[in-house]
Amino acid sequence: MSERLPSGARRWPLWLGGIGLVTLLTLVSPDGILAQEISRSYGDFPLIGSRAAVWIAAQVHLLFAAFVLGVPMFAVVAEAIGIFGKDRKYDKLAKEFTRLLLVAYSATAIWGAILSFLLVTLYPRLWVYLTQIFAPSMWAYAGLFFLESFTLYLYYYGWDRWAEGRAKLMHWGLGIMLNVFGTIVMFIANSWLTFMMSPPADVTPDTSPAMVQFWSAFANATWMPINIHRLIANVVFGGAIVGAYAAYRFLIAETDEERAHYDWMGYVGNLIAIGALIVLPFAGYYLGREIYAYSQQMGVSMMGGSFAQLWILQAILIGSLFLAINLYLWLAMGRIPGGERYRKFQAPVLFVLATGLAVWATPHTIIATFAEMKAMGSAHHPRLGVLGVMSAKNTAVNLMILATFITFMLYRRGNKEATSSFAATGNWIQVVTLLATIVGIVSIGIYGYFVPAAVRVGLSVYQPLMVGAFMILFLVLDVPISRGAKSLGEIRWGQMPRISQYVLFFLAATFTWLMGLMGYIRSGIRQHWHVYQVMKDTSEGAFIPSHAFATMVVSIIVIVFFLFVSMVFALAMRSELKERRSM
Amino acid sequence: MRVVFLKILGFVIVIDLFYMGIGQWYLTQSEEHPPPDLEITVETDTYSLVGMGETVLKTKGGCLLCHKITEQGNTRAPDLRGVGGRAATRRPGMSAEAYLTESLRDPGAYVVAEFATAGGASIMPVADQPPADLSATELKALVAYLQSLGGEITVVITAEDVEAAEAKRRKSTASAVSTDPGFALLASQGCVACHDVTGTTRRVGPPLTEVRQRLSAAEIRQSIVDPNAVIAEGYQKDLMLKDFAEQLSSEQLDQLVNYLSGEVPLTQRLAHPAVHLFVLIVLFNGGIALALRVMRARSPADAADEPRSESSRRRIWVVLFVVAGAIVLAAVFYRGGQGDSPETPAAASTPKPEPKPEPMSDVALTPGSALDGEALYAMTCPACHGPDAKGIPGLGKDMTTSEFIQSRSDEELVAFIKQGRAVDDPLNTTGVPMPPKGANAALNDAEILAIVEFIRALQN
Repeated sequence: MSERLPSGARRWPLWLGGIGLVTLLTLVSPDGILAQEISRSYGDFPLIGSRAAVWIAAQVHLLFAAFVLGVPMFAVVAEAIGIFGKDRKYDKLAKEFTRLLLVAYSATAIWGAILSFLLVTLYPRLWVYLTQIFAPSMWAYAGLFFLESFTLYLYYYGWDRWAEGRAKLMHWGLGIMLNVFGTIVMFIANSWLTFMMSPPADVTPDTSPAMVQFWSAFANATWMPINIHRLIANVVFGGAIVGAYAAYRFLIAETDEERAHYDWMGYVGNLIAIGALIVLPFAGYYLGREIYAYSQQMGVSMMGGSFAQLWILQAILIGSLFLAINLYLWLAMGRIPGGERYRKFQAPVLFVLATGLAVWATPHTIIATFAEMKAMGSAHHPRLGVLGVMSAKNTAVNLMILATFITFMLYRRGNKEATSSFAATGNWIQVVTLLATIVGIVSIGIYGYFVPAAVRVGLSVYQPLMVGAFMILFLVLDVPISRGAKSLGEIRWGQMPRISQYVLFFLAATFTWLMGLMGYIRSGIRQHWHVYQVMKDTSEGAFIPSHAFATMVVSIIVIVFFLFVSMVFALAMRSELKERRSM
Repeated sequence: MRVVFLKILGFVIVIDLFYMGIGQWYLTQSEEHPPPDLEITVETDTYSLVGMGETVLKTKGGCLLCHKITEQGNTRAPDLRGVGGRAATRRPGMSAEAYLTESLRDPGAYVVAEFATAGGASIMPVADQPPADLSATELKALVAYLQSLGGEITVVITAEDVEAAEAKRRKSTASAVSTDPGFALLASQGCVACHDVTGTTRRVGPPLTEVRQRLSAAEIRQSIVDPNAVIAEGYQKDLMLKDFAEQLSSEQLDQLVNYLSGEVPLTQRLAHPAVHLFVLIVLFNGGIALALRVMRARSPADAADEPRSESSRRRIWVVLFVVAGAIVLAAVFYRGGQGDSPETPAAASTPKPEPKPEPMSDVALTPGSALDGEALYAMTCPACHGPDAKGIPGLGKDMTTSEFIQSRSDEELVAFIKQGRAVDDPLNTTGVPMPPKGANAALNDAEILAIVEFIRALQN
């Protein structure tokens, strides 16, 4: 059986025609856009302005890019499980992941083209400056993008042709190459945006772009931290969007078999998102630390200046994610025989999560009224001082990560009963190390109140290290504990309440919102600089907008993305339908 | 299916609005604009200066990110309340003003112990460099404000401070000017010395601000090649150099005419990055579509199911044709783009490496030669420096009282005149470029020396 072109790909002449028409009109116009902008630093975009136009295009492009870079990572892993574990179910899952990629890939390219055209016409000065420094990498980017696309099409359309033996291994190799190309493409694009954020110290406003050393501009201070952060975040995001797709398919499924499959797919997507989310804060710490190391001023602006309040929103978003992930897992335990044994842990976990969220979302300073200040004798409470300090917030976050990890471990044990002789001892060791970790995290949090800021910032490394060490120890101990464990029954896939699928949508929407918000903060901390401390932004939009405006733009981005991603889902489903009919 | 989709969409919108609502109503709202330009002059009174200093502290300086001036505020760096008094006692023998100035310009020189990093360094960025990048006057205003916090205000703004601040402002705004190479030529070739491009002053040549309304591209070209052919009403003949066009390459002449006339030739439009991008997209999509077509065409299953029709073969040829055409076009555009890429402002404003002084010409440089320095001066310099060399405000400096001239040898001055001074030269305090040889390329070294001697004779 051969694959057909998805309908999106068949319409490429329409896209080309449209873009060609716009370009032609621009070229033939005697006083056209190009003629005007060549002598200008900035262009105008109707209604919403240049900044919002580029902002929306860049963020939607990035969301699609995150999806198409994240999904191949676990598609290739799923295929490997299918090959080496000899389980066709995983192979089918990997192909289903990849089908979503095809149309999403076109959407990424279209939004990338829109972004590029907007940059060229609305910010020509910046564009020319960047191209003078990065031109070689831009051409490499285009070439690798081509290779990546070609590999993707070969990977998907060759799935059934290269299904057995050595050909299957070669096919898997194609999947690995797809990831390699995609990762390099992302690393290249990251160098451009991180250069704008942290240009090398020897690049000043007087430095000609021709004199900027390519590699020092490319591998700038925040390049690798962003690479790592995005790599992990892409997996989280890809998992969440795949989960949402599976949830939709679950909700419209007509047979139990279909429902069971998409329940499982949603679970896998969610599992991937959770797994990567747990390590994401470590990458976040690294990035934040490098931003501070590059420029104290930039770091302080980000955490304590103009953007400080947005971290409260970030706390609410991530706190909501933790709540939703735990809710999904508790709901999922309902379809596991034996899962009811762990229901008693729901309340304490919920307590930790709710309290943690409340602490995390507390602003640094609660602005007191005159009467309150009079009653307290100063602007802050005489004993409590300022409430929302990093010590308390870090403690809350680490305890929330710990609680979510415990929920997941209980889920894993749902239908197993340990029979190993080491089980009782192992469980005790796990409980004792858990308590020790909690005591350690809380102690460091309290200690942080009594030391100078510089020491306090350093402490934020030890808490996640303790959490990480505990996780590793717990998983290592789980191996001998679960050896020879008795099964209490098979997981009843498909027997999930419908509301659980809405939780998956909640996760996808919240992740998208979070990415939009953090993208804004990362870009916004350059303030009124195109290239920080090198090229000033002198456009009308060279100011930090109100949080109300910023969150409204993020909100629009999320809706635009979801509308486009539903088109992707619809096209993927159509392609699948055609495939079935042709079988 | 549709109902489920609408339910999900509604659910996502509700979540979206929930988070947006937090941003709208729960968070404190404010906009942060780039710092204002402050008009600080030698006449600015102390009271106003202190007020401006406070503005600098709260906006451009970004001081309150770490310091505080009220009970509430940040404690990453010393509390500034009372700093005016404390400053006089921090370092023995150093005045409060000197200490505060040093703290801003070189924060690591003295670090208050409890705010030092583990290595004893300061976390404070240098105030007169980015990101705060304060000018000399802003820095002094800030010192005045800090002195007002418990101390005595001793700061005085001098003419040098104002001049340095103005030079810095020009330098920073230079990075926002046009990217057009024609615009860069206006400055580098000295056109702006005689022609106004800002619409603010009258100069010896007609303003260029509305030239595209008055003249066609051909007429502008003619005015450059043959300046006396048509003289604008109210302006004199023979002031513009007749051989000006000969100093330009034909490409530069085209760039200048294109910029002034506002006409962009097709080759330049096609060499634009947007067109390159378009070609790239065509190539990319064409390549992918072709690859897919070939894959499908070779598929044995397809061949069995559906014999390839004539029309599908034709489509492959059409795709091939489009791709080949795009490659040819890309090559043509690329050639068209060679040398046409507009210079970025950073490049335009970058001080070029100091050109080595040209070797002196064969004409002997003999002081007191028979050459008429006054006549040569009258032919070259009055447009900017005035007929009496006393300067023209906004154009050229007074050369009769110039410390610069008095402190340099004849050879140095000859070398300087030959080289000129670009607008982005840090020592350029007028904002107007001094063109090489005063834009009179015909001058030889001996003639320039004669002009130098004439100027020396005018020194008070």
